[in-house]
Amino acid sequence: MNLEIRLFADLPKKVRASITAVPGEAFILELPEGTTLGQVFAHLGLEGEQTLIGLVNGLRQLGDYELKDGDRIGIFPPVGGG
Amino acid sequence: MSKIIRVNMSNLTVTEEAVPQKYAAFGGRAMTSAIVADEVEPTSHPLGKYNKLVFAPGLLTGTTAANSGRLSVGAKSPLTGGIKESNAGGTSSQKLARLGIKALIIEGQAAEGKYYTVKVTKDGVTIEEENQVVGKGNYEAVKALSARYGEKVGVILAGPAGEMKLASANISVKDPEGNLRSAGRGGLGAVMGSKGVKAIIIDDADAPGVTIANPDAFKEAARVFAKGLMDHPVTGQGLPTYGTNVLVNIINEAGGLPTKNFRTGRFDGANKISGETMYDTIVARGGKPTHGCHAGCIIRCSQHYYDKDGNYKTSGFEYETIWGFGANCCVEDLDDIAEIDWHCDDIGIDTIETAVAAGVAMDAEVVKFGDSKGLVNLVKEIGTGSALGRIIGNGSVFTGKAFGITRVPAVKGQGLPAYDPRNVKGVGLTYATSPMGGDHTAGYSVATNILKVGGYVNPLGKEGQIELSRNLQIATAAVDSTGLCLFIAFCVLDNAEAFQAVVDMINAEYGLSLTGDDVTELGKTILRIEKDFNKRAGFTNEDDRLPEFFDEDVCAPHNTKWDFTDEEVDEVLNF
Repeated sequence: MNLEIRLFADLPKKVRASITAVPGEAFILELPEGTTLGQVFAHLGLEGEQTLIGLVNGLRQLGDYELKDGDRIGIFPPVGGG
Repeated sequence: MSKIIRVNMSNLTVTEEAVPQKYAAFGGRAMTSAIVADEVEPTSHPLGKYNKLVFAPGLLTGTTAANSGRLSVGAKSPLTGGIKESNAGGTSSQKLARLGIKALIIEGQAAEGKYYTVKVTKDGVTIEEENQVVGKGNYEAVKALSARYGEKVGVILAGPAGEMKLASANISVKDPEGNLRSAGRGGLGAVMGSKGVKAIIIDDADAPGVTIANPDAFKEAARVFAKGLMDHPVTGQGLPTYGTNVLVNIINEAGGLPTKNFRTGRFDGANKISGETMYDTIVARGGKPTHGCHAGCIIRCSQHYYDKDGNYKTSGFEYETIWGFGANCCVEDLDDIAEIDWHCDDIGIDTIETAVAAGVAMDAEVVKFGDSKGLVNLVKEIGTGSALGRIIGNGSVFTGKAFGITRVPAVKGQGLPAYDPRNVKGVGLTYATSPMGGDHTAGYSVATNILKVGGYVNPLGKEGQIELSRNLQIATAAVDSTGLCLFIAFCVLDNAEAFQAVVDMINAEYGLSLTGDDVTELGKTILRIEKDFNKRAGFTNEDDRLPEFFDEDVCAPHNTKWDFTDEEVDEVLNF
């Protein structure tokens, strides 16, 4: 299945070397059916899953959340402001 | 801090009083709200001689505690008609504290057309007629006053908007580099202008400084607190690198970024105005990606944004400003938004209220959505004093009335900031119920709804939101009384040791033995004082409501409506 991924803040610099990403710009990952959000983090080489914020179609989900074809996934490190 | 200074602008006299016992445990917002509630007739005209403008450093201000230099400013608000505390960085608060001043009260009203500069030193307060900087922009005024009184003095200004008594006028405060920070919300600059006070100079040369009852305990607590801030990923890494504008992308992704005057929760141009883009732009142009708004700030969320030619353009370039003139107005040119921010600072007008008013004006096609140059000109218009400029400068509700627009996102007359209440429902409850009017800082439920700070409450659901907004409003009222930057909450909500360190610092400074529960009680006391003032000013529960379009219009991408009942909303501050 195809997943639409966006990485934010400094995460594009932290993914494994084989992946090229620009903050906020979407790219497609093709992964097997049944892949979870946590497996996407691992595939990208992102560590510290507990502190990352994963939004799937705009809703926060945890690592065991099972993804569907076409899901829009935004991944953030801890951020704040206001 | 042992004294209260009263400056009477009707007869140009100054009196000094000891701090009454009932205010002994108050600082910052507790102090400003208590004085306003005790001394201002709630039905008086906010721009008349019976209103009072109160400046107060926080309980910890003037000490070595990290991030403790915030200034509270209070009065009856010309924007909301209710009680107001507005909060700013800059250098003045620490100087007031070191001079031993717990509150500076401006009362009465100068003769029509006269402006004065109030100068505060260790020897007392003088009132001098001001002719040089009246009518001047804030950047020129702060430079001229620093040249006249010394580069190191603190400067507090009413800008041209304050002189025009516009309901969105802010109060500007000189920062460590001579740039401007703002007590932005609620039109307190108009109150300052109405008093005939153009500027306040704070010179703390040879000031006695702050006395610490238990220096060793203070030092240890301050160390634990600072370490907590440095170690937390938000206060130690996220905010210093990207500033508050890092929120554009996450709020957009979560569907809570109000776009086109609160029509949808996502903006196609979000990444062009994001914190990441801003950071890259600042670095490429040789600007400063991080700096503090006051001495001792270790979060350093501010920055110096440079223009295309590599010249300073603005600082303290905040998420709310960029959202407001960006997504809310469908503008995706960060340089134009920076230009607007500079003009707002120079005119002395609140960026949030002005941006919400601009979105309303765009609904009336005064300028078309997306027309960034038109938006720059609209904001510049405020400084000219033209009829159109004065309409915009009087805020979102006034603008809606002037142009017959009913889609006005405001509560108690104050425009709503950068989070759609339908998709971040916890902050919607804060907007509805805060005695300040529509204000995100009063109870920042966004932290727990979206940012994974202080636990998690589903932003789209109702469960847990009432308690969340209530608890955050109570905690915020207390933090606003310490002089600490509200952003320390990102750390202390997650780190019990750092929270305890705040209590320990207060105890060590004043020789007290407060507990965490006492701090909560302080927050409740402040909210009760503020609610009571508003009640006496004529506010009822019916004023604690969001505009009806939030009940009726569906907000993409989650297709939500505002669905709290009136009874549920009334539970938020029912304690």
